[in-house]
Amino acid sequence: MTLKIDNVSFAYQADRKILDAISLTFEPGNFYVIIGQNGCGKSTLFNLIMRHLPLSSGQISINGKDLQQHSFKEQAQSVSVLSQSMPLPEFMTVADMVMQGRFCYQGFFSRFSVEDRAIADQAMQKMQITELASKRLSALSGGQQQRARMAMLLTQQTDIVLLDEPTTHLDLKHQYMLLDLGKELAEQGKTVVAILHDMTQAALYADHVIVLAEQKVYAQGAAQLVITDTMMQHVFHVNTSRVGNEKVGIHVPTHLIA
Amino acid sequence: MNIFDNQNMIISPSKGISLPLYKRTFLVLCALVVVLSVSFICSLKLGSVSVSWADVYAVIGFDMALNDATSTIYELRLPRIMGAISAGALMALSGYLLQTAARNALADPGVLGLSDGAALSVIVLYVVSLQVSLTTSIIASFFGVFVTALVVLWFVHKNLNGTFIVLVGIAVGAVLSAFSDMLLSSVTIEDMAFLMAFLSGSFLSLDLASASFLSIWMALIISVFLLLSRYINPLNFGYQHAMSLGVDAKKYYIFIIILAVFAMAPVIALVGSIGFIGLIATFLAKNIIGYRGTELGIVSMLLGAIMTLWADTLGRTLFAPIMINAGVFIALIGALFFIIMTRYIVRQ
Amino acid sequence: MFQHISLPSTLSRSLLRILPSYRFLGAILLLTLMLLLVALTHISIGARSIAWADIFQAIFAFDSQQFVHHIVIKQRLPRLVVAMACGAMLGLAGFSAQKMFQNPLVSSSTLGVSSGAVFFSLCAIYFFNVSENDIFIPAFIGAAVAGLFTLSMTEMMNRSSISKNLHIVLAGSLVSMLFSSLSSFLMQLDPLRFANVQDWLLGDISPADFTDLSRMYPLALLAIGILLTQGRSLDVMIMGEKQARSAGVNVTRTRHITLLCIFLLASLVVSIVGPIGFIGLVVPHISKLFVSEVGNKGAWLSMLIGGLLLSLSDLLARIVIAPKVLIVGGVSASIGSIFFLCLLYFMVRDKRVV
Repeated sequence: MTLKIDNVSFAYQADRKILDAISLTFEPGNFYVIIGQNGCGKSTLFNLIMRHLPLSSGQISINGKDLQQHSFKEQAQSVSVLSQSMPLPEFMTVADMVMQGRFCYQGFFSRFSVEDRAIADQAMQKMQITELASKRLSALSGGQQQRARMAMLLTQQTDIVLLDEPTTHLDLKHQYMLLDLGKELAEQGKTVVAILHDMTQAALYADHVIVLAEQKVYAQGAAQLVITDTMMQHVFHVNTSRVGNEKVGIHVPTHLIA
Repeated sequence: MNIFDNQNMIISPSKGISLPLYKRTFLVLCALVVVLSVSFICSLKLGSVSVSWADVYAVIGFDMALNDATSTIYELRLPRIMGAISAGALMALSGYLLQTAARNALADPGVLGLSDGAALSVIVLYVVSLQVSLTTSIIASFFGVFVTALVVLWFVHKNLNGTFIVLVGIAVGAVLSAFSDMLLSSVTIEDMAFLMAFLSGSFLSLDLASASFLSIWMALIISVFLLLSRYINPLNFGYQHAMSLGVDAKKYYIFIIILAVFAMAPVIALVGSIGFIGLIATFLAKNIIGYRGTELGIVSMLLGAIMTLWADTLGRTLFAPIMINAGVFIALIGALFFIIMTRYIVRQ
Repeated sequence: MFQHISLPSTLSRSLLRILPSYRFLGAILLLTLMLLLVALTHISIGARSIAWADIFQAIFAFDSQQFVHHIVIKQRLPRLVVAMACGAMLGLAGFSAQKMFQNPLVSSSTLGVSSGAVFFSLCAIYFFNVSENDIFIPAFIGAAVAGLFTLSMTEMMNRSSISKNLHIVLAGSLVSMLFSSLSSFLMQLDPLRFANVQDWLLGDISPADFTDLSRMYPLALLAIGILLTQGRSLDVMIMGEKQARSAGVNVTRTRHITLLCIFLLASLVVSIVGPIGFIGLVVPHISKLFVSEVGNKGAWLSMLIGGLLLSLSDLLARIVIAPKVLIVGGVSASIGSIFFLCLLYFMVRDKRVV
């Protein structure tokens, strides 16, 4: 599904604008990465898409249909978000939490169908948390909790997947596993949008990079084109030099390279 | 066979229906129902007036032949027992729902001062008017709960799930019970003894009619709860993330709070200010069966009913012929529990 | 920095415009006048109204023939004196507690101390047949047990120092609830035995007389004296524990002594008039309107204000719904708990709370 952000602005109070007339289009089959300084509005954008916050102006639509027109159930079947701020009930088991993702497909009498169970089981295997299934959420480490959240997201099986800093708390092996998974979802035809803070990972995985700065879209396009030393200077205020070859490179602070 | 099939019994009479039930919960439920039934029967037997097992069987078998013993049971004990079970279940459910709404394991009608507010309204009613009917006392109770809830919310609307709401709730409860004390100590009316007992919660004055009402009310509330219980699981992830999962969070949070209020108000109107049942029952239930919206609610209710029943029965029998109010027992256990819980929670 | 949560700032600002040294004297004068006023009204109002002229006569030219003089000296005056003395003790205890913990919410009632004193007294009456007049020792033990329980709970809860203020009050409320439910339970066991302490339980000054006073004044004076001597150490401790230690103050000893005196004063009051709450909470705040809490001026002022406040409450309790009489403890609990809520509100508003 195509997610379209059309001229969207948002401000908490009249004078403090977080986003100013942002327009973006997210097409299926692509892995988008959003980068930007802390507090520049990346998470706010996700909150606006998920209708956690009200738009000050503009419109957000999925496949042409305005998001406001969706019921909560329809929206949950179309777009899902992986977020740090989600509180985890201590006494809930991992298995139950992962099953929650299926909520929008269930009815009063059908809360645990064969299909639901198979999908949830698959998701847990994918995120390698099957052996944790009966453990309580409070007994998990940060990384395990993050993988559990991702598993819950997978069971929701939405066409649009939003990932807010998905690599947080994860060790390196799991970080790349998750990013590979994101890429795989994109190749299956889903629309995957991730907020990442690691520039290298962004460059390696993104089909399309979007830089947010000063309430606006600073630049968007292919990674090599967008992630440049100029951009690092303007947006992140760091003097960098690119080190690497045409395919792969990293941006290192200049003063570290003698 | 995956982990879900291993841990759960699936109730699936036909293709479109599939309801999960933890195998462990099933066992716990069976055990609790047995305990409740046994407690019920024992409570009929125990008391300062001695009654034989034959009399108990007669009552249970609806044998209408009345002798001294069976009439004791019918008129004095049966109402108290029915009342205690219903009240325990309702207050436990109320506490559980409040905890879901506030996402705070310490929320409970007693802790948040709601019981004190409702009790004060009812006491004022008794002091002011000569004729107090069941309906008016329940209306007064509702009023008390609503107003107290508004006051507490006004203080803490920004920060529902810390320990601050507990402090405010206790402080508000203290104000309201100070007013109740002052009111009662300064007036002399017909029903002084009743009202003094009312302040701490007592099943002494329940007659068969009010006990039946409470039982029917309990059945009603349980039915509504079962309808709503599906939404409780997602609501635990917070307002925003419940919405992401597909729940109209605002609507259902309000439903849950309203159901909590409807569950507690008639209880307080008839029995007085009891609290902490929800706190204790839900905590125990969570530790026994983990967290699943519907199942946790049902187990909490059973635990609450058993607890309250025994509080009343022990109060009647332990120090016979002295009768101790059930509410006093519960307040004592509640206070102890609360202290233990705060240490446990803050240690996280 | 002095933790200064005060009543609406406009009031304190206008008072603060007056120079410090004049402020203290002015406060003393004002309060003494108010005290005299309340005292006279207190004595004159009752089942039988007594004119002020008669009161002066009774005090300065006692005539054993006159019945009115008897009422004044034997009945009303003792009651007034007890009220003022207890109020002073509660006020000082509260002032010292708030100074020591640097927390505007503590007092002997919010720390659960009074409830503990009550419970242990009831136990003594029930289990050991102690008469209602000799409950000071069990009261003191109860006060100490409850207070220490609260403090140990607070230690357990103090992960973040931001919510420290709240933790001790939360612990105090819980301990208070525990002991009051224990007390209710005990009372239900034998209602007859406790029939004549019903009023005392709420906090009642009316049955007090000079014999009670004579029994308590030595210990009271001792406690007050000790607290005043601790004043300077407490001042230094306001800066923080480490700074105080390096300045040569024996922090642990000061804490122990101050706590002991607070328990002493609280249990003295409880053993005579019952658990009167919130005087200790309110008084330091009023005192801080006039003088800072550094030095002993605040302590003296707190005693004066405490005496005034309790006499005033007793007066109000007797006239508000005349001819019926309210019990002082109920009045002070009601007003004080509302004050406590307002304090909480101001703390939240000023963001001194997590």
